[in-house]
Amino acid sequence: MDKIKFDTKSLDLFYGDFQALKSINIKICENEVTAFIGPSGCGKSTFLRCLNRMNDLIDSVKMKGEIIFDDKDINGDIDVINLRTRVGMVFQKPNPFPMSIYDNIAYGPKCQGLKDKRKLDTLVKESLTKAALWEEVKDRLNKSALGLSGGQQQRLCIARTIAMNPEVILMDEPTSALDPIATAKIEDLMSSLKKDYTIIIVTHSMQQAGRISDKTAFFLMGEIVEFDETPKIFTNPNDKRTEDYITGRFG
Amino acid sequence: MRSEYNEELLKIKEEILLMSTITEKMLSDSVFALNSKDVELAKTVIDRDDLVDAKEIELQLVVSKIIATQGPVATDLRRLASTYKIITNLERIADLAVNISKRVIELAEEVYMKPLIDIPLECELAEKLLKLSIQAFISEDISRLREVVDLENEIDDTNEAINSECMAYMMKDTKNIHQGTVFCLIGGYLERIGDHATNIFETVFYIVTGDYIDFNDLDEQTISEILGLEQTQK
Repeated sequence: MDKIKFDTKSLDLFYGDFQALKSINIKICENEVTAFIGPSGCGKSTFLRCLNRMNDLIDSVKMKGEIIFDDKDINGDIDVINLRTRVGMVFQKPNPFPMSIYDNIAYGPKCQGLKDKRKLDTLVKESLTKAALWEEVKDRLNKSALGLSGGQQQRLCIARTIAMNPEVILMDEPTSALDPIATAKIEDLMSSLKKDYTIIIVTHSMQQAGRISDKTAFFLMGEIVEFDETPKIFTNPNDKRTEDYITGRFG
Repeated sequence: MRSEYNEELLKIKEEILLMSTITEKMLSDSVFALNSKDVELAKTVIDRDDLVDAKEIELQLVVSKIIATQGPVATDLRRLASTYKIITNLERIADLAVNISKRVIELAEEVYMKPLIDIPLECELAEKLLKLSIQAFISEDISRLREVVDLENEIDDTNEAINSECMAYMMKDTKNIHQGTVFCLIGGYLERIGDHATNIFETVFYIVTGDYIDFNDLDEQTISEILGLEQTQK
């Protein structure tokens, strides 16, 4: 039996009076890629942000239910900084810091107190290698990260997340701003990273969900309509609403 | 939504219906020509094979284009993947009708050793099975599963009867060996046509349920379970 990384039980989330998530129950397994799909406003990004408590930054948000991460409810008495170290996030638009490629990776570990230059060098190299970027940037580590292409910037952001040695990587439409070649590199990267990390990705691309994920959850109006093995979802979904959405007939 | 895509999918169904109508007529004409020793009709069956081959290629290209451009999933994907199988089976049926027609030409000058009874019957059963499978494809309805299984068994039994009868005639008189062998072959062609028609129904079963089953392994209890389940899902 695969180890459960996140176990969400009866999670409700409200933005003021608006209920954005309704009784979410989902178990996310370790070392798998899980894709969240659904129309805009269905709650998939909201739920993704729940997993490292990014919604804490929004005042009007109220939550009920539990999200068990390993053994602990992340909405209980836990260290949020530590949670966000263990559950990293990559956003839709690449957002490198306005500093060198090297410093982008080293910034987080330095903030956590790592000062040893040799250890930092090793960490930078390892992270960039894991993010399949090392060969492309090894000769210009001290150049600004803002000079990289969009696809390289996004891989840099993934490397920056990896440098914090997380257990889970959340990705919110990480390739929607990238061309097909850069997208293919990120997708290859996800497949190679899942042996070390649990990956959860929000995507609007059905083909991408089909290509890269082990399991897919279909969200609609704040609920999970269907959650199953990805090949099952894309060849023979159980729910007609899932079928209507993935075949593009959802109106 | 996706009206152009929906029209393309519908057009494929129409084209398969057309392909199967041509194939069915080839089949019935080939056996009619055998019975009536109509060489000219047999030749037209052989000529019509080009139509079926062209339709198969045309449909293959259309399906490949839709898969490449529309990214079909779920039932659409099963429909399109199944189209490849259905048109292959129809094309094989047409080839077998051509084989029968070639035998008609071969036997044209001969007096038959006996009146043909079981071969037209086997052809009728195979036609019925083909029609039923294509109807099931058009309506995506597998409720006539039991009839398909029964028809396939009847075709097999009829073919056996043809073989035994021909064997008896051949043993009675060695002059019957050539004709007897040809009639056995024709019985075999019709039996294979029945198998192809059953394959089409199996493919429809996959479109509707997402599962593949071999109809040769179906017992009465399994059929009842499947049909019961199908009724519940409706």
